[in-house]
Amino acid sequence: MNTDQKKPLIWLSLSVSTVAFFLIVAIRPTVITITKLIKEIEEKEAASLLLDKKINSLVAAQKVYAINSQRLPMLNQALPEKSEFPWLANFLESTALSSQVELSSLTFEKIDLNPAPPVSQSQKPSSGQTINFSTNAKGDYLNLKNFVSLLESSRRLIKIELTGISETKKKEEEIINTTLQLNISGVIFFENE
Amino acid sequence: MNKVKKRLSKEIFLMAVLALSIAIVLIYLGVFKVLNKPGEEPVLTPQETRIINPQLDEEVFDELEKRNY
Repeated sequence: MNTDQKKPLIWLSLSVSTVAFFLIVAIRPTVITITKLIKEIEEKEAASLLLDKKINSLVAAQKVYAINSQRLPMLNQALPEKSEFPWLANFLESTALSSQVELSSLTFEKIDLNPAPPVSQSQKPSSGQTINFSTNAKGDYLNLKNFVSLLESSRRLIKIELTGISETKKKEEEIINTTLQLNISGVIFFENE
Repeated sequence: MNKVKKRLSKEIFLMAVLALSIAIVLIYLGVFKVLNKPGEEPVLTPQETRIINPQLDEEVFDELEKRNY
């Protein structure tokens, strides 16, 4: 092999070395940056799609809210944020009055009417608080039945857990009066936010 | 002398080819590492990606309307 035949091999080696050098020094960082950017674009496109879906669902929810906004206070009536104790006592009394039964006793479990606001998120009580109550009502059978029915059909969430009817007899001037006594115990719910 | 030069030029050529191969492998590994590296910070937090269900059970309202207050 003479010198002229060797020259192309040397030039080829030099060319290949130069290409390898530029591949490592210049092309590699560029390709890595391009890959990073493509990956970032794909992630952001996926996030954009998710946000589009969220926006669509929010728009749909806003429409549903607008349609039902007049009826939303009913939810607060069914499950108020506070115990609304005065309303509760008034409701039981007025229900007894309208169904013509006599409330002989009405007992609520001890509740805090002005609970201290929770200091931190961890101290926040779980939503869905209850007040236990029990009441005794006197009257005839149909009125007592009507009283229970009115309690059950109350918009405020009331769960009647136990009912019992007992008969009491009173002798007044040779006449025996028979009255029925209804014992009800139940639970009234509120949200306590 | 000629034989030595011939062998040397061949070795230089082989080294150049080896360097080129290493460069290609390095680029491949770099790209592979970037593609398989988990994102440092997600673009959106789980709360931001949570899609609310816009369906509302309107029968509840109808049922509540029938009840006395």
